[in-house]
Amino acid sequence: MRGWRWLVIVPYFLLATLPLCWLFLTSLKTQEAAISSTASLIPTTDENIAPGGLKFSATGDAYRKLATPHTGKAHAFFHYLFNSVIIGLLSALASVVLGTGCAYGFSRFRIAGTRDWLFFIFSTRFLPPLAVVVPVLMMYRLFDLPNTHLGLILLYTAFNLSLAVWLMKGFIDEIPRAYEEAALVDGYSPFQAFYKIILPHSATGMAVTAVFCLISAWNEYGFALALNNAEAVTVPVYFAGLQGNIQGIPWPQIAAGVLIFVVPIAVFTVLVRKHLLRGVTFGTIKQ
Amino acid sequence: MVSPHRATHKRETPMPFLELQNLQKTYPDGTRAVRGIDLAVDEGEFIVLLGPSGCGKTTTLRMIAGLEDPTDGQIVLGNRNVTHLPPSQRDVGFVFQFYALYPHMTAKKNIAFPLENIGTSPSDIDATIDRVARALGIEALLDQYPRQLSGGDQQRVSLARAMVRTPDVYLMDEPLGTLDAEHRLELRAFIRRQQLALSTTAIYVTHDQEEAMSLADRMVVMEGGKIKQTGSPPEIYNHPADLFVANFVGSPGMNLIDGQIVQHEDGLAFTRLGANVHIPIHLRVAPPRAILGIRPEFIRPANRGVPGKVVLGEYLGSHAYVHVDTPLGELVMHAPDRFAIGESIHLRLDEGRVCLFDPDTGMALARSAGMKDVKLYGRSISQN
Amino acid sequence: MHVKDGVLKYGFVGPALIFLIAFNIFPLLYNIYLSFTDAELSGGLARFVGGRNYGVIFDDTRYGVALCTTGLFVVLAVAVELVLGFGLALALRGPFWGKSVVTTILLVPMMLSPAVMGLYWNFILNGHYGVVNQALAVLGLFQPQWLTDPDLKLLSILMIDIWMWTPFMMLIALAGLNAIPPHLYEAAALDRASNWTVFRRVTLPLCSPLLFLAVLLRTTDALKQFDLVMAVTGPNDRTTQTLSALLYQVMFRGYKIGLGSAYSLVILLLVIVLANVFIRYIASIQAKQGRDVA
Repeated sequence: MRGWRWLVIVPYFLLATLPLCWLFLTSLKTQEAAISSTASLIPTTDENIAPGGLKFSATGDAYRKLATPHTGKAHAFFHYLFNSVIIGLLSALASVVLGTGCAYGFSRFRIAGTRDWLFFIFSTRFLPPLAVVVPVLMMYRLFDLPNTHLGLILLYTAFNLSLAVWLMKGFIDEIPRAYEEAALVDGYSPFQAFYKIILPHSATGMAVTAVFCLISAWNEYGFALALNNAEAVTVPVYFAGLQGNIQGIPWPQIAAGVLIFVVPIAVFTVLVRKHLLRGVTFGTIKQ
Repeated sequence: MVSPHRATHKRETPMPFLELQNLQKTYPDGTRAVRGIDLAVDEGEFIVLLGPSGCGKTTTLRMIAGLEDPTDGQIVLGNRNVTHLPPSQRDVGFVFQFYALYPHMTAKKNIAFPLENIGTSPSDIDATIDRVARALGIEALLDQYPRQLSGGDQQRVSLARAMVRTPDVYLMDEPLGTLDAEHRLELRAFIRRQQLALSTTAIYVTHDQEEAMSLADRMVVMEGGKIKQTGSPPEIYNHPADLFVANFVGSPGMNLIDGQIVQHEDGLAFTRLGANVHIPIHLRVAPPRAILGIRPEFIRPANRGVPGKVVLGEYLGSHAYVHVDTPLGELVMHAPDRFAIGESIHLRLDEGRVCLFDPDTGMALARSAGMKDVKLYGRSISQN
Repeated sequence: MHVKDGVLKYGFVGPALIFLIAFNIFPLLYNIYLSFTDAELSGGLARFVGGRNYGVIFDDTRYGVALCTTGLFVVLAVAVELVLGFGLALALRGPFWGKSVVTTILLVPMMLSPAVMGLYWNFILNGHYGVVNQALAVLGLFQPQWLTDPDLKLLSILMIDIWMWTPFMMLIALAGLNAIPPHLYEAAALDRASNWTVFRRVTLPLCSPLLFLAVLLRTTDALKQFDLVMAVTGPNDRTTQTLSALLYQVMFRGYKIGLGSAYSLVILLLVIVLANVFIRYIASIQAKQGRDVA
């Protein structure tokens, strides 16, 4: 009875994954092969293949070229990748630290207007980045923060904080209160109960939250574009900047760069697959 | 394990060791969980708070531990007003219903946890854990994680964690509630033996009346955030203060019969309209109507007495509960053996064991010592 | 927990709240101020101009067009993603060999960066050497100019969005399907209900709360559509200019911050209305789950 499922899954699976496979193939090609009007599909190690066939000779040139700056750019791809890594990691860390504390507070203490606060936090995620970016830019100018890593880190931390608070609250709500209460009657202070009991227990939750914050910062484009044109340019902004002349775009290098850029995300997706649902629904649905 | 200091301290002060004065708890949503509790507990006493769910027994226990802040009233523990102190400054041991063992620590680490922050040296910690583990028979389990342990073993470890510190008072919140029958009986006996050996004060919360009676020096029956009755298990069982206690304590509960009090032969008797059955009673003041209560074991089959017909038998091996339809209503009798359904029998009610309750207030009616001075609401009834 | 934790609890929640207020409430208020001035991106003194910026918006046909483009985009994207995602979820339900691998791989596109993937799709959809058109040529089909034909640009952006976000719908729909207790299906089978009846009377109603949640989440997200537009056509293409793209054009290409702020507030109003629906819905779900704070 269930045979029909493959009629749906197989075509969609192909449509969904072929672009990613094509990405990989392109990264192995030369520029001429990449923009040839007859697509070649099969990589070979043979270096003397006539153009126009199904086979092409695979090369690692695209990956090598990522280490040298592209025409008109100040830095090589890896410089921008490094920016993305630093900004992503530090802002994820900050979001998780602030978010965990906040989630713990709202989960365990009686705080006036808890509901309203939580929904305020939630609603910050709905603001279109461009609706708040200009005042932030003005504010940053006062502190010399535009074009800096710190500026983007702070902005991403704020942007991801709502996600972090809601996800962490979901995780902390699941830890029985009796654990902390046991610590309290055993003579520990509330803060000791937090870091001796709650922190170790929410380690998984914190890791999952960090991954989601990291991915969201990693992929972000609007803020990064508006706040930066020099020092702290991230990969999405760098790639978008190569687009001026479509004919002149070095597709194999872009494919190689995109691949390097998305592989960590794919790996993280696999790692947190059990928590994906929570992650994309702000912890409102738990599997 | 009573410290010498505390023993002296007890001699000097005749005050109770733990005292709750008009203790109240109203939650922010308006729920009045505890509506004024007064209770004095002596050192070394084993107190059981008994009541149905929602009666406020657990809230009371949590207020003693400091896990809930009382809305009103006072808690005095060992001469110290601890009403608003945080739990860490009270020196209580708490055993949770769901064990509350830290999953990321081994049994040993769990037990050591309360000792680690009070500066106990590692060798002392090990010695203490050894001693407690031996007492509880969990030496072999110390290196296991909670998820590797059965429910009964987890609760043993959690008892051990509460015991390592020799606190002023043990607080236990239905610690056996989630265990299977076999472990429950075993641990129940263990808890009592341990408490007797250490003569530490203990307060134990349960909704299981059998558990309460088997453990308690004194039982406190609660309902609706108030204490209904305090007393030793036999007092509570034999002389329930009101209909609620009569019904809640004992399984099956008391037989309760709604009827009239009339003058019969030499004195007062309880009867039911239309029933040609009179049960002599002894009351100081008798209302015209009353509810008569009698436990199943004080009814027995006899050659003469209340006539009835067997409608149902519940055979339990050592005895049977037999439901008998009588002119007084359906009565449950504790019988040594089974009866055939439909069989006509006679029942004898042990008059000395009869309880009487006011049908309006539900409160027990005071018995008269003798047969004199009996009044039927203002109307003096002559003895003859 | 004990109530005497006064300072501690504010120590926990305070830093995050201060941060959020600094980065959200302050910019909003400042935006409101700016919307009544003629501030420019390059700096310099801003003059108070009253409601003039708002007047400009309503005279500006670009705003109406962008509103329609955004609306069309949101409705089409969300509808197609919902139908596809739910269909996939139905196909993926129940155990089969390789299920978790297939499901996980299908989920990957939604985790990727729209800006970067949008750029890469330019390559795939290219009219001359794009692999899509080459495939169509092999099949002997018409080869549209996906990226340059004014009638097709929005469709191309839609396709990329659908490629990225159908897995999102699928993920939530799967959760909804998995949450339906099997005994309901057993009961329906005993009642001799047809497959279609079971789907209509059991599956769909029990899934719909989660599907609604998914639609709301996607809608609020699609409303902000910016990255793909920038990657495929740039911010100033009349056929694909969404509200966010228009905002970017006005503020960062036209340097009109005062006017841009007015635009952003008008857009914000729209988002707030939707977010409100959403938040109410979340609140009702949470009330049902009964896990409240107190």
